[in-house]
This record gives sequence, C-alpha cells and structure tokens, in this order.
Amino acid sequence: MSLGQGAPVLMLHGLANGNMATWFSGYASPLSAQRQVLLYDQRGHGGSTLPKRGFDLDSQADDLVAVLDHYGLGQRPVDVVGHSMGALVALHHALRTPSKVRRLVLVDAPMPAREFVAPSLLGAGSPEVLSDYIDSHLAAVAGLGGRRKERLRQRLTALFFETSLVQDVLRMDAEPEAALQALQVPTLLVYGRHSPCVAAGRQLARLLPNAQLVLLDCGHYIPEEAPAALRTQLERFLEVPQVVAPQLAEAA
Amino acid sequence: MSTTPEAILALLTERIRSTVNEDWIQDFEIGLETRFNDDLELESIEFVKIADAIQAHYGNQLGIIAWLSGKSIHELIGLSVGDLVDYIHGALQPQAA
Repeated sequence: MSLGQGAPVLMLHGLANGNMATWFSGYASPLSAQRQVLLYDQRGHGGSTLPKRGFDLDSQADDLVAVLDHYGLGQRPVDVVGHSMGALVALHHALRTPSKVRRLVLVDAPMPAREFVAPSLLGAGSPEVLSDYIDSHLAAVAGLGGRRKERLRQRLTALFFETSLVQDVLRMDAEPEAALQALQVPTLLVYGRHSPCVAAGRQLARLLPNAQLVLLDCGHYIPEEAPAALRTQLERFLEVPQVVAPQLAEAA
Repeated sequence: MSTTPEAILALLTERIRSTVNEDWIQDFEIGLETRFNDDLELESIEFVKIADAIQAHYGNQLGIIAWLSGKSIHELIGLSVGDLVDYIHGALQPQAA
C-alpha cells in the first residue's frame, strides 16, 4: 500500500499480531501529508499468504526489496522504519545494502531474536498452549472477542505450527559486530523502558556509529503503547513537521 | 461521483461485505448504527483494507489525512458505520461539476 507523495518511507510491522494496521492510521496517514509511505503485510501476516518457509531475515529482506521494486523505488535510498521483527528485517536490509537506506528507525528491535523472541514462541509449545496464551494475553490486551479471537487463533496456529517460523527465529543470531560498527546509516533506536528488549537497544547504540537511543515510558509494543511519543520521535528524526489534521465536524 | 451520505453508506456497505467475505456478512443488515467493533467484530487489517478501498474509490477527492490521521486503529474500529460515513462525508472535498 502506498499513501501520499514525497520522499519515501517504508514501514514494517512486528511478528504474529502485526500487520499494516500497526502503522496505518496512527503513523502512515499523518506522515503521508508530506511523504510517500509504503506499508505491506509481511509474509504470513494480515492479507499476505502463509508460505511454509522463508521467515529468516534474508528471505524477509528479499521481500522488502521486492516491495520497493514494485513501487519503482529499488534504486534509491529510502527511510525504513520497523517494529520488532520488522526492525530486524529493516536492519538486515540496511546491512546488506546500506546505500539503499537513507535513515533507519528501529523500534524495539529484539536482537538477537533467538534470545528475545524464540522463548515466547517456544513457550507456545502446542496449539493448546498457544490457544491459552491468546485467551489470557493477546486477546485480553487487544480487547478481542469472538470472531477476531478465532481468526487470530487460526492465523497464529498456522504460523507457529505449519511453517518454519519457529525454526527460523531460533537460528536468528545477532548481526555481526563488525558489520554493525561499519554501518554509517543514521539510525534512531526507540525502545520501551520496560521492554525486555531494552538491552538490545543499548547494545545497538554502543555498536552503531551513527545511532541515537531514545527510551520511552512503555514496554515492547511501542506503536500501540506510546503512539504520541513515537510519532513525535519519527517526525523529529525523519524531519517531518507535524501536520494538524483539519478539524472535522463532530459526528452527530 | 455521488457523495451523498446515502451513496457513501452504500459504498461502505459493499466494501465491508467484500472485505469480510464470509457467508454471514452477506445477509447481515448493515446500517448507520452498526458498529465495527461490537457488531461486525472487524479485524484491524480488514478496517485498513476497507479504508484503502474507499480512498481508492474517491481518489484525490478524499483527503485521507483529514479523516484518519493520528487516530489509532482501535479508535477507528470503535466507530459506528454512521460515524465513518460522517467522517468520509466531511473529508470529501466538493469538486466543480
């Protein structure tokens, strides 16, 4: 999906309960007043198909490039924003082809995923355990019931137990230190002060030569937990002056 | 292109049915009072698809910034169909015939 016009920004969502909706109304729409914003459902998420494999960072970064190529943006540097797994994909893309990334925003990137992400995936060791987790955590947090909870259950059960996702995440190591230390792309690291991934943010801030770390007063799900603060950080770092939406008549 | 509230409701109803694309929705009575959250139990990604389809339908006539910007997806899903019709109606810029 492409919104607006201007210098392009690509936004990637997180694993499992992420999709284009993560960024759509709260971030992509306001940014699209001045920028071309690209969103897509990553493989196995939202409206995208569920392939059996290819959840490793190389395959997912290939997907990212395919999206940019689709919009004719494969040959120029674009701003890339990612949350969680989407941030790892963004970082991997930047390390493979730094000249194609203008600026990088990593929101609570859980590097290495084998340490920060795998335990929660392995914790859902069977469809029954996953189902309980959806009832007790995911659905409760998002206020989901009925139809939506069932669809989430179906999607996650398929993603966790019918694809190579868990195996792929178990193999996701940290990016090589030397490569990180050589990455000159300006990078904003936004982490939740209460996120289990905050140590990864400090590590990346130490290694990346051109990075700034900002801690927000929230946990891992920053796009949902701290939307105003995250939007302010994005607009500051990407140099997008805040646009106040025209006031609409209140619904009667 | 008609931009009356009735036409917007008809468009929205059609997009909801084609996006949800399950048997029950085809006969489900969708009106101004219908709520995306409580009545339709719409998924966030479905709402995005509907919004995108509406944007594509009206093109430049509809300032997407004006009707969606800054609202969380949860706020949007909390709306009724009638709320959304009003938002779209308010954001449609009248064009010379």
